Amino acid sequence: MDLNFLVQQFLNALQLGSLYALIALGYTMVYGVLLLINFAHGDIFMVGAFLGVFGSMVLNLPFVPTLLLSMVLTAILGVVIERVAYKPLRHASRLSAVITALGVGLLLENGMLALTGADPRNYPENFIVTETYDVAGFSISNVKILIIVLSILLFLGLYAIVQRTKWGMAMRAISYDKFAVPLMGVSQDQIISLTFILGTGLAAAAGILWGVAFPVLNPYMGLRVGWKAFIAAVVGGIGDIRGAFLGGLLLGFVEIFVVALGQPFGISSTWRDPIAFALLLIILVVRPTGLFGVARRQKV
Amino acid sequence: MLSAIRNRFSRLVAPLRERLQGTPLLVYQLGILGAVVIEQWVGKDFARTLAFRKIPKLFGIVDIFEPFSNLDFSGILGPFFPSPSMTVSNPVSQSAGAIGDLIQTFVNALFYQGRRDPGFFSVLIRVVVYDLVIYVLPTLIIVLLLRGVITRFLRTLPRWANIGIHLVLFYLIIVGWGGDGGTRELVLIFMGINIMLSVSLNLVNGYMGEFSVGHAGFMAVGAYVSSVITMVLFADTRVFGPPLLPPEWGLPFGFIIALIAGGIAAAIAGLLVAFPSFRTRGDYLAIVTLAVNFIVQGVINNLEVVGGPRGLNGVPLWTNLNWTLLFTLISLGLIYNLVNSTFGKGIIAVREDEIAAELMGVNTRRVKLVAFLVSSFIAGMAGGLFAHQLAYVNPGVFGILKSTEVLVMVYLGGMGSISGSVIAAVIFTILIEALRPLAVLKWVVVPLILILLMIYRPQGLFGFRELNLNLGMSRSASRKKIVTSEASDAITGD
Repeated sequence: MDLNFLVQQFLNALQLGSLYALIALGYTMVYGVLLLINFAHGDIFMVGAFLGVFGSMVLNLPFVPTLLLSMVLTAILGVVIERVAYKPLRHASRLSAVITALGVGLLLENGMLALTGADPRNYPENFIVTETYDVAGFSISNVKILIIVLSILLFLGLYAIVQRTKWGMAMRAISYDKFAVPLMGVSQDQIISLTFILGTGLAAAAGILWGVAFPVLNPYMGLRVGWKAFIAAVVGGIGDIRGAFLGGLLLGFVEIFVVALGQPFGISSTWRDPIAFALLLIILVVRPTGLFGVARRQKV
Repeated sequence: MLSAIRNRFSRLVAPLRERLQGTPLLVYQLGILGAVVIEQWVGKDFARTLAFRKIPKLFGIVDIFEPFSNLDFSGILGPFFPSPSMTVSNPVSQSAGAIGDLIQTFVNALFYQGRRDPGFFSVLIRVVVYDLVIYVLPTLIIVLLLRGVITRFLRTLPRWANIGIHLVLFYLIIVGWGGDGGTRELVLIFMGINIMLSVSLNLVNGYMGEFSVGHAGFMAVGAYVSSVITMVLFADTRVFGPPLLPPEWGLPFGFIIALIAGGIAAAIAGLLVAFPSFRTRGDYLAIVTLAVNFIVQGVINNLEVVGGPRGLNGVPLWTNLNWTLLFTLISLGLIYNLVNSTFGKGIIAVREDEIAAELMGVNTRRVKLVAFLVSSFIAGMAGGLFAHQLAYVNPGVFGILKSTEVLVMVYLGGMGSISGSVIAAVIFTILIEALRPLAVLKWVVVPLILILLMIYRPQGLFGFRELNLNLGMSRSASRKKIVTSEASDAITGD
C-alpha cells in the first residue's frame, strides 16, 4: 500500500464526508429548532441537484450562478414545505410531524420521477472541467479540492450566522426554550423559516457538489444519501451543528477506509453500508445521545 | 356543496339506518355470504350483460383506474431537467405541449378511448350497477329478512358457539369470495401478510409508544431463514441441490416449522433493537431500528450463499389462503391477548410514562424485550409467508419503502388499535392493488394520503379505540366480561 493511495483515499473520504456533513447540517438545525426529524431532507437534496441540471443545461449558466440559483430555489421549496406540511402540525404530536416528513419525502422523490421521467441526468461537460494537479508527487484533482473547500466555507459561514448574528442567537434561543423565547418578542415563524432556508440551501449546495463528484442524478438519489447524512447527524449528536459536521466527516472516513483497508482482507466494497450502520449502532449504544449531544434530563 | 350532497345522502339512507341499528354482525355475514353465492351463480353472466369481459376485479375498483393507465406526466417537468440524450430548445413550449397532450389523453380516458377500451365514466357506471346488483342489494335484502330471526337465535347460543359460528361464516365468505386461486386470492394473501405486519408494528409503535421505522428488516430475516429451510430440506433447487428430507414431509409440518423458525430468527434480530432500547428512547431508538433495517439488507446483499443482491430463486410456492388465514388469526390472537393481559397494561404504562411505570413496579426492560421480540417474531412469520407466496425473494424488496408501507398502515388505522390496524391493512392492500394501473403515480398518491391524514386526522381511523363488533350475545353469555370490568372498576375506585 503506497502513500499516494492513502492520500487519495484521504481526499476521497474528506470529499464524501464533507458532502454528508452539508446535508447533516440541515437535519440537525431543523431538529434543534423544531424537534422534528425532517425525513424529507434527503429528497430536498435531490431537488437541489436537479435544479442544478435546470441551471446548467437549460439556462446554460456556469457553476457559481447555478449553485446560487439552486440554493435559492431549493430554499423557497423548503420554506413552502414547512408552511404547507409541517406548520399545521406544530402543536400535534411529534410523531405525526415525523410521519408527515416521511410522506413529504416520498412525495418529492416519486413526484419528481412521475413529472420528469426516469432517465439518469448529469451536468454538462464544461460545467466543471476536471484537472489533476501534481503536488509533491501526489496527484490531486480540482473537483475534490473544490468540494472540500466549499463545504468547509459553507459550514464556517453557517457557524458564523448561528453564533455571531442576532438571528442566530434567536435560533439558539428558540431551540433552548421554545415556550419562553417567543414571549420575548422573537417570532417563532420567522426563525423556523430561517432555519429551513439555511438547511435546505446547504442541502442544495451538497446536491450540486454531489452531482459534480458522482455524475449520475436520479430521483431516488436522495434516499440513501439522506438516510446516511441523518445517521451522521445523530452520531454527532443531533441538534448540534459542529457535531453534525464532524459526524458527516466521520461517516465519510469510515465508508472510504472500510473499503480501502478492507480489500486486502477480502472485505468487498459492498460491506460498506452494513459496517457504517453497525458503527452507528455501537456509538448509540455506548453514547446514546451521540458524540456531542447532551442528555436532556427528564422530569417526572 | 360536498356537505349538501352528504346531507341529502344521509337523509335518504336515514330510514334504512334506523331499521338496521343494532343488527348483529352475523346477519351481515349471512347477507354477504348470500351475495358471494349469487356472484358465483350469476356473476359472470351479469358481468357479460354489462359488457365486461370478466367479473370486475376487486369490486371493480381496479377497473375504474384502468383507463388512466397510459397517462404520462413525465413531459411536464422533463424539459426543464433534460437528460444528456434529450435536445431541448424551448422547454416552456415543450412542457406546454406535453400538458396539452396530457389533457387530451385524460379527457379521452374519462369518456372514450376506442372500441376495446371504455372510458372512466362508462366503467364507473357499470361497476356501480354491478356492485349494487350483485353485492349490495342481496346483502341488504337478506339482512332485512333475517334480522329478527337471527337476533333471537343468537341470544340462545352460548359464548363458544356464538364465536364459532362467526368464525365459520367468516371462513366461508373468504373462501367463497377469494378462493379462486387468482387475483382475489393473491390480494387476500397480501392482505393477511399486511395485517400481520401492521398489527405487530402497532404493538411497538402504538401500544408501547416507541417509533420503529425498520420493520421490513425483521420481515427480511424471516423470509430468508424460512426460505432457506424449506429449500434445503424439502425442495430440489439449483442453489442448494436435492432435498435432504422427503419433499412429502414439507406440507404441512415442514412449512410450519420453517415459518416459526423464520419468526424466531427475526426475533433474534429484534434483540438488536431491544437491547439499545433499554438505554435510548424516541428519536435515537428510531435511528437504531432504521440502522438494523439497513444492516439486515446489507448483510443479505453480501451473503453469496443466498444469492446476494440477485435474490433467492425457487422458494416452494406453499403459501395459500388457508395458511395465511391461520397465521393471521394466530398473530391477531397473540397480540390481542398480549395487550389485554396484565403484562399488556405494563406495555401501555411504558408508553404513557416510562419512569412512572418503573416506579410502579413495571419491569420496563422485560416489557420492552417482550414487545420487540413478539413484534419481530410476527413480522418474521409474515416475511416467511411472503417469500413462499412470491417464490422469489431479494433484499431490495425489504427496504425502507416496505417499512414505510407498514408505517402508513399503522398510522392510517390509528395507534394502539388492533381493529384499526386490520382495517387499515385491508384498505391499504386494496388501494395499492387498485392504483396499480397508475404505475409511478401510485407512490405519489400514497404519501399524499399520509400527509393529508396526518394534518386532518392525526389519530388515524381508530386511534386508541377498538371497533365494537355486535356479536349479538345475550347478557348471560357475555357476562364474564361485564363482571371483570366491574371488578376492575371496584379496584380503581370509580
